[in-house]
Amino acid sequence: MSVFRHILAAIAIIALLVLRFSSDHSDTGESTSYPEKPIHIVVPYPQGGGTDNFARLLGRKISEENWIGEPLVFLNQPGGSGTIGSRYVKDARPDGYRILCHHESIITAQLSGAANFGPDDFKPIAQTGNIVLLVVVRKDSPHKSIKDLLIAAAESPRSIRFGANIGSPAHFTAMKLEAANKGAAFNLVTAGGGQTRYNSLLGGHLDAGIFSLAEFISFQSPEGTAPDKDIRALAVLSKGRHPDYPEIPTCVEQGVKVTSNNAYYWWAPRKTPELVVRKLAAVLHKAMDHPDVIAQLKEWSIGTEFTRGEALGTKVEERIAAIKPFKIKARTKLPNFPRYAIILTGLFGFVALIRALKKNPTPRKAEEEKSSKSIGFLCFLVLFLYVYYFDKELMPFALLTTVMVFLIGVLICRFKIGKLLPILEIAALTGLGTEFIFTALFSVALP
Amino acid sequence: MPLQEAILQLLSPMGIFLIVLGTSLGIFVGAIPGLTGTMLIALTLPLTYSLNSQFAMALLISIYVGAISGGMISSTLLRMPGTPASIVTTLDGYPLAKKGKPDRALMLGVMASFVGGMISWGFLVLLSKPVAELSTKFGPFEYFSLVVMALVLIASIGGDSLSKALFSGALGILVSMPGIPAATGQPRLTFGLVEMNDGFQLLPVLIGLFAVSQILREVTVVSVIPHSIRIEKKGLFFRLADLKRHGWNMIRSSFIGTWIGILPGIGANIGSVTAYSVARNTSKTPEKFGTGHEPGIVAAESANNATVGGALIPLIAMGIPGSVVEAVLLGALVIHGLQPGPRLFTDSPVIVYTIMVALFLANIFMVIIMIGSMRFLAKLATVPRAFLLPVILTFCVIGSFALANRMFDVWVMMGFGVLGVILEKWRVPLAPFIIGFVLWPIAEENLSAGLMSTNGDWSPIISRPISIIFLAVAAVLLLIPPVRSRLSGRKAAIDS
Repeated sequence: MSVFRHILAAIAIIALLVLRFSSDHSDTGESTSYPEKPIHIVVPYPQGGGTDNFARLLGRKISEENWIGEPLVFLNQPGGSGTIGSRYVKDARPDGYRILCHHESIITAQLSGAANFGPDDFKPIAQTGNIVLLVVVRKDSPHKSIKDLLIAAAESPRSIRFGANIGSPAHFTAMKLEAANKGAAFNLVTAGGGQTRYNSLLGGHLDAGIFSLAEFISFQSPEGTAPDKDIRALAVLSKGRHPDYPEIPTCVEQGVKVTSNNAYYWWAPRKTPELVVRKLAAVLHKAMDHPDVIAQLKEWSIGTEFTRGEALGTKVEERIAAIKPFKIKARTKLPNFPRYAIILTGLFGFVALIRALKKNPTPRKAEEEKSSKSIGFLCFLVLFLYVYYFDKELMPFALLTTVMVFLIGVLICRFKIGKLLPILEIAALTGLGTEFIFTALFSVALP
Repeated sequence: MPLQEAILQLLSPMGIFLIVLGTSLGIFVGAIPGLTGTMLIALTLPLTYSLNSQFAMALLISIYVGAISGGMISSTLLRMPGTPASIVTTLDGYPLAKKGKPDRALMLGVMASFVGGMISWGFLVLLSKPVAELSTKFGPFEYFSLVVMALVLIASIGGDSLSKALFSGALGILVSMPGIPAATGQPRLTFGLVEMNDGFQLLPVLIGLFAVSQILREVTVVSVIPHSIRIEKKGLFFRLADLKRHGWNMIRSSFIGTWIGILPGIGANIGSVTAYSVARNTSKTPEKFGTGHEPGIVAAESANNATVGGALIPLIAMGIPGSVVEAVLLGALVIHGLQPGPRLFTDSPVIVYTIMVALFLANIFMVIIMIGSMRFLAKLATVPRAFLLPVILTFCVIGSFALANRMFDVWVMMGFGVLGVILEKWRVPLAPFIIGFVLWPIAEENLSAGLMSTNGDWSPIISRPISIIFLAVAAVLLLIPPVRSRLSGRKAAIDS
């Protein structure tokens, strides 16, 4: 490595160090009031999903107008029907620096057994926006109204394939519909997200399903499309008709006494101080009242309802009470897949073992002969300690990474003195560089 | 004219800049084991709020194309698939590079990627509407049979021992089971840990098995001398003779990739596996596959790039995302106030044309950038391991963490790193493991949905025509290798 490269590396390291500490110092204000550092907003769904888009819309407005004085950092923790992200917030320090934006799945996940915690383990901050739900069929379906559909479901129980993912808010709504008409029983099918359900409706793999208004609007085909390639709404599940779609009747009008909707809620860990919750609620309220937000929500067909304080507590209780009576149970007995997988793995493993023992031990490859196990073990140990320190946040990320890269590099080159300097340079560049890219650019929350 | 508008917009300096930026970033990130295009796109999405919708889509699509092509670099040079889609490329790419021809392996991959990208682009432009309707013909049972067909292919890419390949595949299936299956909504095999509710994610499993274990094995080798390579001018050019030799393979694999890409949720992994198996099963010299055989690289790379265009077809025509990446793209459309869905074409034709033109341009720039940097890239194989491996480890850890901002995934990666070392020690092939791991959840979800809608009746699997066709193909694919080896064995016996 030439001298020129060393100089270049040194300059880059110094530049990154300056960048790092200059941004660190700018944060140390003297104020002691909340918030004094960035607030992490956990979205338990992937980037670009409905919840993510909604949360970021409000977050962007709040940041633009600088209503809270500190940046809002969005963390997506998708998976497990939203239980992973919500647990992350439930277990957070109750100081208001890690909050959750989630919809009513937080209630249904507990009732369906997917999580052993629920709304009681959180403190609700606010309810922002509500989602209108509709019952949708293919346009050429014989069922003309929700009453028709329920009568058909009562005449031949479990013949109507109704798309509602088990344990989701839609699933509970479907059960409410069944309960509203004596003897009605759908065949409730877990048929994936909105797009998959739409696809299944068109392909005739489903007879009906629940969609949000936004989904319904986006899936409608242009005028003149053949009826077997378009969809139709039987009823809207809100209390009154939707102003943009006055031709779609409500369930209640059709004699089916069911209303249902979904809404976005903001949650903090249960012991979060009241003052913090009130401050956050006030900011969210301001955002919901902003004309830009209202305009965007109208485009997304999301209602602009806002609830906070005591009214919010009552509302959450009401929602839980409305959902609780329904027991979730898989109605079709499915094969015990894990059991078969274990049997299969054991079987093939056994066969492979027998065959390997039968064969004469194959001669070892030349490269394996010269291998040194201790170096491999030491490298693994360094890596293990690195991850452990990372997990427990015992050291700043950049320093920790520098140390790890250096140690492993030194182990690999077997302590050659000539290589120590370049390895150190690479280590420092990696540590500082990755920290800069991931925290400054991509807002990943490194320790 | 919406088409003209789209072209003018993308050919503006800003448009070109974004496409070049996106493609290079994608290649770069795709080439780093631990970071994937999906992650980059998800992380970039919030940064595109300030761009207009056309530029935002152009940037994201270029990243998509770049990443799926960049994955082959590390697959070929380091035997660490940069993205899940390039697992199959390791099978022949790495052996060829080890033989001292990394430039040749990369060149074949680049050209195959380009052909794959362009053929699927043709489908996207010409046939998106009629082709998209095909996807509605697929009900749960059809999907199940299709995935079963792909699962059977495990047997044909497993290396020398069939029993070990099957064991590896079954283990992959087992490991994919923890979590909350969509059909029951109840956690299973999670041992009461909420962290396990989402099971093991593909990325940490993949880089644990392939990258971390590869690194742990490499560091033990005393005096790590990177294999010497000679980069000849000749290797850097794609000649007419190559086109003749690989042309049919490229076209066939691109078609396979495109059609599989169209089916929502199936994605690039199955595309490349299927194309690879077909190439192997129709080859006159199937035993050469896995030893650095050129058609293997060509089949895998043309197919995985072809899935990009294929997966965009249902997105454009019906608003249905074909893969995780597409779901993020869909989100990007929504953020920019566009309604994805069947009316996208009539309501906002400009954005549709923007997607098409961006895909075209990104493919062109992908080839230019890759060929331009080929000499440099091939040299990556000669960088001292002491410099390279620790840096890759950092990316593995940070990539696993950034996936969902949680440490659990990093520990999963560590665990699978150890498992990878053990499996390799016992000579158990890793590719079948990943294929079982990726495919089983799709198969199970569809089978469950199917059984739910028939109230537990299995018969549609064989009574529905599309479904039975896939099962028949699966049976044929399963039978070809043993029948053929028996035939050739008999022939050899006669010869002697």
